[in-house]
Amino acid sequence: MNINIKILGVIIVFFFGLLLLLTSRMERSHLKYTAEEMVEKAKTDYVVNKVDLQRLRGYMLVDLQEPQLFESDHFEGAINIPFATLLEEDSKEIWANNETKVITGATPMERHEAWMLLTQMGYEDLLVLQN
Amino acid sequence: MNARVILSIVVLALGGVAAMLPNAKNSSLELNEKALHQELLLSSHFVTADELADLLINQDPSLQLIDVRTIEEAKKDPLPGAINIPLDSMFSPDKNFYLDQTVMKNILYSEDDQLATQVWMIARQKGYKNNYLLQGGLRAWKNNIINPKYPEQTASKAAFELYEKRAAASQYFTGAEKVIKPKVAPIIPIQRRQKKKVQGGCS
Repeated sequence: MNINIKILGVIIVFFFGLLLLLTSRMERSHLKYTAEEMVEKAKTDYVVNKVDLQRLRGYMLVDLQEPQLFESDHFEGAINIPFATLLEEDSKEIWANNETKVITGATPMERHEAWMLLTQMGYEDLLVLQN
Repeated sequence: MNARVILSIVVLALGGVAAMLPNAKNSSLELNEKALHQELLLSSHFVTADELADLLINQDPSLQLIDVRTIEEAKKDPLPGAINIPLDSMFSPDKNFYLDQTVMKNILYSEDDQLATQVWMIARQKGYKNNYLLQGGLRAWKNNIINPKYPEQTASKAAFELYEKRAAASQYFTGAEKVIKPKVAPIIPIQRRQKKKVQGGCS
């Protein structure tokens, strides 16, 4: 009987180790808001047009185009964060600063996707430029 | 000490640790920001207006259109067979099962890209599958499929072929009411003269 319990103990500890290993391998989520909370966030008015921009003070333009396309055509003073590098450390530093960041370039779909993703991660002062 | 007591203490302790493991809040179905970004980069989560026209014309039985505009807007000009699920009611019990399912291929659309992208992003982060976006929304649908522009004379052959296809699709969706029949007089069949047998001669 005693031996049986010891074997059971070993099995339990083994499975627990396996569980620990699996959870440590999993990428942790850095999303600040839940999907349900994002429904409310999405309702905020975050789309601006060129006329609104003239009234805004102290903003930076962030262009999501590919670098080659960015070289050939972009707003004056805009910085380039290609959509593919949205979550790289250098990009995150820009998203995290206190200035208002106006997302331009790429397709309207990608601009809204970027806004939703970054907002859910907790970055603030983000706007999307309508073309 | 009794082995049984030791084992129960160990199991209790391990259970306590397991309860404090990270990710207790998010279920494994939900996507983290990296997984979501990767999926966006694949660009397989949207269809163009032309692809949607093909799917509708071929009457794909697994297709389900979802109009995510407000109830009032959706009443005005819905696409054929669309269900209205506004952003607000995407988690309400009577609408949620349309988005969170594995049978149908849902295509979400709004006036432009904004609303549909929002609903798609929320649904996908939540772990829902089989949802797709209509790129450019209803505006792209109307401009490309319902009222296609005749290409410039200098346009490529492919552009003309695309126009032909879109014009045909437009006829399909508008009930062919726009078709202008060419005014050409019917051709009267030419009656051939019958050859007469040669008469006379020697035989």
